[in-house]
Amino acid sequence: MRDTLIEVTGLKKHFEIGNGIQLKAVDGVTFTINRGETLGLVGESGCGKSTLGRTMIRLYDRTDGEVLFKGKNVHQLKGKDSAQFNRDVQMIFQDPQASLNPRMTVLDIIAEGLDIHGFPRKDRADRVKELLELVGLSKQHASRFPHEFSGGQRQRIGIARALAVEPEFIIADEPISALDVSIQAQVVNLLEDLQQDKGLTYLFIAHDLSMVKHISTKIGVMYLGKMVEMADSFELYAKPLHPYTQALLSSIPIPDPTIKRERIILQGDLPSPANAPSGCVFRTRCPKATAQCAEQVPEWMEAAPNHWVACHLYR
Amino acid sequence: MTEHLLQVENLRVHFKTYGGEVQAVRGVTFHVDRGETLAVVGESGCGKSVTAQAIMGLIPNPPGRIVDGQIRFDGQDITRLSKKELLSLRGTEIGMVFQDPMTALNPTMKVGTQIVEGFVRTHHVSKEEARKKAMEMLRLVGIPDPEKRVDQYPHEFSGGMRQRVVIAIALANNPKLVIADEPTTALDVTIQAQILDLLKELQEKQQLSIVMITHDLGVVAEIAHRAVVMYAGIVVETGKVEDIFKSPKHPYTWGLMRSMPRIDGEEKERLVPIDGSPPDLFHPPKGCPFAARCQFAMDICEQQMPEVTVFENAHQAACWLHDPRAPKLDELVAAGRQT
Repeated sequence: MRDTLIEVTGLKKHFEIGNGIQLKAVDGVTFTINRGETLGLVGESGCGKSTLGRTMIRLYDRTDGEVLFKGKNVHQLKGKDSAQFNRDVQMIFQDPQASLNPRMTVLDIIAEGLDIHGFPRKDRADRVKELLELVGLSKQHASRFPHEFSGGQRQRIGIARALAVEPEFIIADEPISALDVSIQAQVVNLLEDLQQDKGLTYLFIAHDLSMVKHISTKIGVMYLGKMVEMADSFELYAKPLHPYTQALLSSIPIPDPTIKRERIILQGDLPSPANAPSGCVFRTRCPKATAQCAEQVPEWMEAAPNHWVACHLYR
Repeated sequence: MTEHLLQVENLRVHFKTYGGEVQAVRGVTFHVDRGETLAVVGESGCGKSVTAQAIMGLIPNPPGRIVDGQIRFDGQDITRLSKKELLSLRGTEIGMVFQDPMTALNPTMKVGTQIVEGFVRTHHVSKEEARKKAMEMLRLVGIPDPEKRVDQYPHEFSGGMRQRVVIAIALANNPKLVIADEPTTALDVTIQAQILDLLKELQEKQQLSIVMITHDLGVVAEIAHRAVVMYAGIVVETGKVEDIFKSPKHPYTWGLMRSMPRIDGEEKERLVPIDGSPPDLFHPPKGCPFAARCQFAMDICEQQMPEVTVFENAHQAACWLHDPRAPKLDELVAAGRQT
């Protein structure tokens, strides 16, 4: 039996954007993440994947629905439980340049969480050295400032900071998008090693579908605030069910000139999330849309074991 | 033998900064034929964009300076042209497509006016004719409803549509060569597919030559006929795309290919990263710039810049491993693949 770490049910996050218009950034998303697993979230810009991650760990207040972390509703935690939750979940950001304070030394950056959560001051420097070595940097780096590092090294500092308070769950929001190809692999390998050693659970948000497939055990595909499909990673790439997933996968350029594929090129652009289409949100670009798709919101259902999809084709 | 449309010969570009002089491009040679797409691939800081800027005569001087080399376009050396001559070359003979369509467009100008700005300058047409031309260009790049769109402003277009407008600007004067610097990097993958298809289609229709600057090997395989792989300001490998992907000859190219996961792979394999990071181009190494990260590096690699070895189909690589005195490559590769 797989051990559930996080249970998200009907989670919604709507933003008020003036004139009484609601931007439904995340609109009723349901899934679970098991301990030790990596859930990859993919989708185009503006589909709500980052908002989902941030709402799950309370960086945003939810509009509706609930998130259970180890069985407790995270949006209702108070006092000690709340502080413990903040330790248990950590985040790694996309741009290591912007997410590290340029005026702080690496030591202070990494130890900030330790200080907040009341780790003994005297062990501070040792703990930071240990963390630096863990992420493949050396202890001499502790006294330097972020600008003295390359992009890949800065991302390692961000990872060390996230690990400092011994979290169980890490949200990595586009952690490698700002890095060069040859450096991306270094960081991904590091994340994988750390997961094995420490039994970490990841939510890996990215738009690079090849990398997501590589790192994830399970993948969720989002479109305009909705989860449209979720399955184990190889299953999803081998048998995509939702027409959007199929189009998304077929549009990835494969680095092999001998492969000639039938590509599904989606017409048009992503509609505005402030004015999403009725019924199925994908219907305006869907090559298989029918009249029903405009009227009825497709149900989130298990089309095959552990393979969830929201599409009228599979009813 | 016909002359190449574009021939870059031993190009060197330096930039003066407070920290010293950066040798951004250090002797780059390649050519583009008529009707061909050439991809220039490499990571940030390898000099690919500077090379593109040099071809367009857009190196800001100061701080930049073309120290050496020639860029022959259609028989004339671009590096020797005056500012005025360059201006008439750009936008008529050479079109440009930039990475970020939002910053490439003027937000205060109707897109129709932007599309034909260069066309009007060279053809002196009436307002009506210009507007007609703008609509024709919008139609060409697949923007629906051109009668309405021609009078709209960039902010009324989505990212993908804006990039189509930028392409329309580049093509308005029927150029022979289009230089596209990471044209799909800022776009989502489904939109990227649309733009790549559009470029391919336009190339066939208009017999264009395209220089595509990119860091994405997937895009290279998708669109290019030939590729130039750059690293730390030099060309490490060049050849037909099929040859480069089938049998890459430079360890850097091997490294790049192995560090990327394959979407069509059957099972999970551990990625093989290239350890370390690119050299500092304020003080570039004397020998091969990749030597410090190369698992096959020999003593000579650090001492002396490798010479170019030519294989079948004009496939070339600058690596000491191909020197007849070097140890057998196959053995090294076999050993390397196992580690």
